[in-house]
Amino acid sequence: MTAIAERASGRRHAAIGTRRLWLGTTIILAFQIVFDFANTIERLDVYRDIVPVFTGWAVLIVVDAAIVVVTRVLGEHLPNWLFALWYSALALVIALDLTAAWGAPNPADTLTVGLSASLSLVLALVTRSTLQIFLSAVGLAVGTAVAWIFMGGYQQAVVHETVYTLCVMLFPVLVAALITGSFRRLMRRETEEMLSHSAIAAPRLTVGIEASEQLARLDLAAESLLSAVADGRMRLPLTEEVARRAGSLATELRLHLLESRSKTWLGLAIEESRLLSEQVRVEDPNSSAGLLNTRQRAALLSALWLLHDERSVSKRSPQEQIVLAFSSPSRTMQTDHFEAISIRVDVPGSTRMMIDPGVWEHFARVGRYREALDGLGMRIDIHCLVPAPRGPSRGRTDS
Amino acid sequence: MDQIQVKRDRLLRQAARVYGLAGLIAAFAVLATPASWGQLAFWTAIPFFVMAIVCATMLQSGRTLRWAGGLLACAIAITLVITFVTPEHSGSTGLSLVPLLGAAVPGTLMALLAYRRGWCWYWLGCLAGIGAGAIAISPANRLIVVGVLVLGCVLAHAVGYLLSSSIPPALRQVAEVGRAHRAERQASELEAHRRQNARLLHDTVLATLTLLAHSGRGVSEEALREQARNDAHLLRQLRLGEPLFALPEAGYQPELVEETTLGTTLDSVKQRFDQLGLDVSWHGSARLMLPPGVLDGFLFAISECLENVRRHSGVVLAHVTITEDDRVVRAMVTDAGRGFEVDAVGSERLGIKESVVARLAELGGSARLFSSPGAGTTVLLEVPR
Repeated sequence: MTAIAERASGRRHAAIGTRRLWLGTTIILAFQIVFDFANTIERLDVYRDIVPVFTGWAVLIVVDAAIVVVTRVLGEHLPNWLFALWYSALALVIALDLTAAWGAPNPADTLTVGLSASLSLVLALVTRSTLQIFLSAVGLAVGTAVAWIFMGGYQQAVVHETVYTLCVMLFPVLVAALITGSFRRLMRRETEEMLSHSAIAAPRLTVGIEASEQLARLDLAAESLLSAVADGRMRLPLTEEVARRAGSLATELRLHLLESRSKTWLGLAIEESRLLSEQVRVEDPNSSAGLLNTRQRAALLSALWLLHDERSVSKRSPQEQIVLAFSSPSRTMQTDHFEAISIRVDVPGSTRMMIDPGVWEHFARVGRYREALDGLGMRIDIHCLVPAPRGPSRGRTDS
Repeated sequence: MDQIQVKRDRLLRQAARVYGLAGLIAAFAVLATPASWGQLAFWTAIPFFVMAIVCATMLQSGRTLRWAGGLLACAIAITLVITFVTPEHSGSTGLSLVPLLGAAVPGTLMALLAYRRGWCWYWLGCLAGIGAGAIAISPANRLIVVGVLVLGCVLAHAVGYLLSSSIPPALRQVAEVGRAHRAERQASELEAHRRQNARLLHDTVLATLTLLAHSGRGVSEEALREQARNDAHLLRQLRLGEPLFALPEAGYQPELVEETTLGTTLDSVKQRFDQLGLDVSWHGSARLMLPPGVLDGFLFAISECLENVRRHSGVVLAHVTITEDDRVVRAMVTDAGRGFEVDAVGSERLGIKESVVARLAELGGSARLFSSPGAGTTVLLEVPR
């Protein structure tokens, strides 16, 4: 994805839809805390000393509430130092719980506030990556496990309870982090598809946001150089360095004016999407893709996204790219108003069964298609009619 | 299925897979502790674990009901195996094992919640699981374990609901981002059009920059300064979006056929070459009726030819004759200079080939060159109207 598209999607990407998930997990965590507190009350006689346990509860409630407020106020953002501080507080709470139960015959059974502390990590789901949450949770669980080994939790009669408690500490956080990860991935894919669809309204040949900004930058550089010469701020004849600058500016500007208007909407859509550009390559020397009308473009792009989904599920190597080859437009026998383009789509390593049925619907909207299975995978030939370009007009092809 | 349903289904299946697998792995970890390791029950349960893991993994491929049902059956089988094969160990291990399986089962059945009436199937499956758990646990702990299992089912239902209800607002938000991006792209496309269509302007800027690159040798200092001032002014106007002097692209409207008074536009070309020491004499039509982009390219081609005359012909006068009929507009650029052998000038002299021929071809026009040593040069430019 180019920097521009990245900016457009990245701006709100992290937050898309995750606020609701976060609120939900916070409520679930609140129930879990009540449940664990009830467990503490039930086990009061097992603890050697109840002061650390209640201190732990007090600390946990305060820091969790603080994190909820901060995350909310900062708009789903948590600074690193605050996360570190909070994480140490959670570790402290677990340590307090372990101290309180030190010497108990079945230490795993008494972990209550510690359990809530570990599960509290779900509060960072929206502000930290899946990996960070995972490592944090593993850190807490390993620390607890080491403490239990010193307390005798590995004894045969109770070891299954130790393992059980460790799993309960670790797995819910892990599952929540992975699910949030899939949700984020889904939304990222949706965002990219949506952004790439914005390219279909482009004229036959286009420049892309970035190239346009670059031209504006070059113009500005030329303007400031020329006005410096005009004002006499730069003396004539120019110094060698300034002359060289003028020369390179002229070259860049010339190249830009000659080449920049050479991309089709399809090239742009694929180039700007990181997900799609990993899997799709376009061979279109005559810029024929630009001749497709808006309906055909939308359908072709949707088909590519569906093909992309199938491949990202089955985790293909990046070498096996989907290749789209466009022919140059040729005259048809029937009419002068339309020209024919054939598009060959090679989908290596796929069979008809693996391809989403929606793909065929979309291809049918692009044109008449025929699919065949060759040694390497599916090959689809689409034969489509496009309005013949008339004279010098280079306007939009949609009518 | 509509788009939201597709996404919901996909997300819930992924979530159910992770949830179910985590529960199964945890249950297996508990079963693999010394209390039951190596027992008959342990070995009997292993194939069911393997089958359950396969079912959870296959959830991704669709056929949700089948795989979720398969996992439920395996989980019930494991519970019963632990209870009945080695009852003497079932007490304590079962107490840990059943809640974990009780997390795996509703976690996997969660995938059903994506469908209409999926919750019926979900709770049916949950009831079966809870029933099996209740049978497996000794009466002393039965009430507590059943309570925990019910809570697990409620939790998984809540998670499923949370996920599926998060999708529509999130997709709306994505659509909003898309709309904003589309607007941004359209604006940039228009801006790029404006800048690129201001090609005549860019051509004079390029010419000035090229002169500057040679430190301004060969041109009077005052003329160069004047030219730089003009160009800087024009670039500033372009940047601020003000209308450029006589350039027709200023109000960019692709379909408009604009009428331009030849005098103003051609005058600026003439003026430029005057400053560079080439006298240009115009003949023919005083008005040009061309679409803006075409007019622009046409003027560019003329000035490019004049630039070549200035550089190579050795004379200080050039004639430009403009004629038109109902189909094409023609310009003939003639000089009486030293001329050259047309074939001897190869394609390495990019100047005319790249700029003039390519630009006119882009407009549907053409350029022809006639010259021989000592006999001057004539370039015939044509664009369709």
